[in-house]
Amino acid sequence: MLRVALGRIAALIPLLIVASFAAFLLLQLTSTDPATVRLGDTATDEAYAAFRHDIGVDRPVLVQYGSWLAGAVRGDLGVSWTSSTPVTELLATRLPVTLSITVGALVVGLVIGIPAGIAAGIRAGRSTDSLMTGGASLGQAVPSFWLALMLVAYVAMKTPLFPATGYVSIGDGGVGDWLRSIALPSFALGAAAAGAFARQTRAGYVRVLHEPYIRTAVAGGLDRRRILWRTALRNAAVPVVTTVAGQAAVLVGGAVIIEQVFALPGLGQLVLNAIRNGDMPIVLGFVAMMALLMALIQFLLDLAYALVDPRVRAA
Amino acid sequence: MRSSVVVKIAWAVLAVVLFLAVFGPWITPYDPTKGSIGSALASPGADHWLGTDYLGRDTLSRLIDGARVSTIAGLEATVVAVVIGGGLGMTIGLFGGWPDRIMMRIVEGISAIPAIVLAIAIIAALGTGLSRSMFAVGIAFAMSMARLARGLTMSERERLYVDGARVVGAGRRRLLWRHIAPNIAAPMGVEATLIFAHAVAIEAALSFLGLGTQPPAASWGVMLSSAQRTIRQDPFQAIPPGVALVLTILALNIVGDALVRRRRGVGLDNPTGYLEPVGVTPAPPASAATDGGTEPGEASLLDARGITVRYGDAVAVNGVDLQLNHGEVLALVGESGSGKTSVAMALADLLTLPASSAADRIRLGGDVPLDLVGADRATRAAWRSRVGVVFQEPSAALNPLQTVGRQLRDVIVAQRELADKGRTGRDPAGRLPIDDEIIALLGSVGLRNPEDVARLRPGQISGGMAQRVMIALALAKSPSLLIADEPTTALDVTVQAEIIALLRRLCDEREFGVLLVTHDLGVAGELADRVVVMLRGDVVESGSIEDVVRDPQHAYTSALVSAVPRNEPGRAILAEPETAAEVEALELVEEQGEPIR
Repeated sequence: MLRVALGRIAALIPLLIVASFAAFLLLQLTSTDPATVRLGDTATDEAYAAFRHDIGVDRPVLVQYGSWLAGAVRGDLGVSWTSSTPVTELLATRLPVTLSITVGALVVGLVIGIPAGIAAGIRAGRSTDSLMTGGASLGQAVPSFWLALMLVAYVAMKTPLFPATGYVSIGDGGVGDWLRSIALPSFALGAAAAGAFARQTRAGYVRVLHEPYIRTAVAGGLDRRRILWRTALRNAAVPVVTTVAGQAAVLVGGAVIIEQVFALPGLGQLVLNAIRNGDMPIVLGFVAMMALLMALIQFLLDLAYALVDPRVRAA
Repeated sequence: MRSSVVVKIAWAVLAVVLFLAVFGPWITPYDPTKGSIGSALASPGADHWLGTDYLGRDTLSRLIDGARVSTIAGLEATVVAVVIGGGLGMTIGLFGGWPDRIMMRIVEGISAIPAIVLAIAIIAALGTGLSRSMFAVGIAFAMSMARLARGLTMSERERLYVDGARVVGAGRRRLLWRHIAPNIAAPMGVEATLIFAHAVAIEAALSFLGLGTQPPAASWGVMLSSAQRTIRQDPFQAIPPGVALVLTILALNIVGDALVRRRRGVGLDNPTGYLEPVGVTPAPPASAATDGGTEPGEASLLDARGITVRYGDAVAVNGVDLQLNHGEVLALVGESGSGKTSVAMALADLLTLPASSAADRIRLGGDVPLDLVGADRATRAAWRSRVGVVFQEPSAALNPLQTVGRQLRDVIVAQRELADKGRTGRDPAGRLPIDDEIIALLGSVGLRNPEDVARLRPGQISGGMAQRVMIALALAKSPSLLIADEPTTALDVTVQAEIIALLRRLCDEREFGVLLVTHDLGVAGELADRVVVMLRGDVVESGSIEDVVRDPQHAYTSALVSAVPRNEPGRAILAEPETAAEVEALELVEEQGEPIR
């Protein structure tokens, strides 16, 4: 198990370096000049040059990336061009919001999607299956931010149960208020994931039921319930675990959009403002953090995968 | 059938969107970008069918205009993804080597960034707007397209005909375009459909955020953004663009899925796999008189008459009779496709859709005789607990994620529950503790360290050990009939001999009858007392093993006899082919392909 973990970490490090370097190069393409972002249009050329020298953008690109990377491994992602606040600090204050609704959406997706997929998979070809599969397709086709708008218009404004806007942290309002503030965003974001999980789970079951060892189990006299829940479930779960990583990427991206509907002060709001202001260090830090987050999720899933499928451990 | 209707509706929806995208400017009732504040937020009515937005612009006109934006957006992103991703993937897939390794590292690295985050970063660098944002989305999806195209190109490259073309002297570029591109176009086309759907959704999302299409131009995302401003006063304005988005994306996904299904040829003629065996129905009276002349005697263990198995309309087994006595080994011999495994699975009550089977009579003798034809669930469960099955390919027939001991335990527990319900006619008294029974079973099939084997998973043991475990699983039911379906085929020769020795020992030790299904008359000669030869669903010959081997009556049997290798130990029973009829029969076998491995 430890070997699996160390091996995965070793593979993720070059991945993160490539991702951050690609993002770094990409943002070099911008025509935005940090000096005008900070000093406006009216400063002297000397002042502009001095500022550029101060933040180091007059150095060669590779040197700039090297010093950015050297800072990044220590958790220092540079400073914002507009406010001189450390980017890490800006991201850190916003991350809990985005993470809350992403994890919330993942929970919604798994809690709805997996049972629905099992229900469809064990009754494949029947009406339950058609209903579930149709529902899953619809769930995947509904844009999350539109579902969010609908929830605001027809749920939040009709009942006082869920707030239409704003975020309450656990520290400020306790677990109850926190949950209420992320419930609708999580549901809006998680509906599509539920559809994806349901389809994966169903496909997993249908595939596993065609494996010869199911016939062995039937021949052994195991009853239907035991075959479905013991023999088939674990085998069917393997591809679902791999889907979670892909879905997590979609959900984190979607969270950025959903935040706009519910006016949540998350990373989405931060990065949209940064784009409007041409504040590239924030954008770069955001991309790098997302890549790190994805790598972390991938890492945890690889471990989960090794737990579900012992063949991976042995390999 | 119903799903094909859904697919047609989906195509129709896409046709409507395309029509509106092309002819929108001529059919919009109002200018989609101009409105009068006086008629702001009008409700749907005769003047404005879908009402107006907060600037008094006609929602229907903007909706129609949005179809054009969505179509352009989807097209642009898809073209960028296909051209850049597909081109890159095909190139590195064709060349391989270090350019491939380096490019794949880069593609994987960029893929570590979620697509929409990457698109946002590209927009931050290049600026906002419809075409720039869709270029960004296209780049984000180009990564998955590159992986797909690379994989497809590599597997196409390996194909023989591409090598043939290279020998002929086709240059790499010609190779790429003439041979590989057409063959990978279809799967990439399917992927492109799905990218199109994603692109339409992301265009709306980016425009909603203000990063894509810029107001006052109409896009469904921009419309939702302006609807959000007035969501408290007029929530209806958010509905038309949302429904348009859902319908378009749903239609694209349905069409994409249908294309995937068509490519993979996935049929749902058996959605529940091996889970629900179909059972054996009584044969219609007309087919009862199929007996080919041999008079079946009284059989003490198994008496099966007129077994017919169909797969859909195709007849795999055409009225086969089998009789088997206690302590007897009957070999059912034939090439693949002869229907022998179908007979075995029908007798084990393990046939599943699309198979169906009928018979005049299938009876298991003993203290409590059982009839399988037309039996109810309880009787079928009892039948299965008295019929042990050793499946072919033991490594596939064992659950890869459970230990050997766990799988044996499940069977033992299930059988004890059935016995407790009085279904198996077996006495619950005198049971060993389950752990001891597992060890005893594994020991009885000749596994040397049963305690250790019980803790291993099928992937950790050899094929020969897996087959022994398979036999132990069959024995866990204390069967009175053991069906062994090609028990040695997946094993190499020395292990085959061991398994044959094991089966022979078990036949001597236990009172059960054995139905041995094999394509190998040599294996049959080792074990069987009697042999039944099948060809294309019919029994062509049967009799004692010595008689059939020494003096085959049917040309096909002669061919099988002469096809057995003679220099293996224990096969002295089989003689060299001598007569002209046997040589002729050998040719018959060759014409039919390779029935004998």
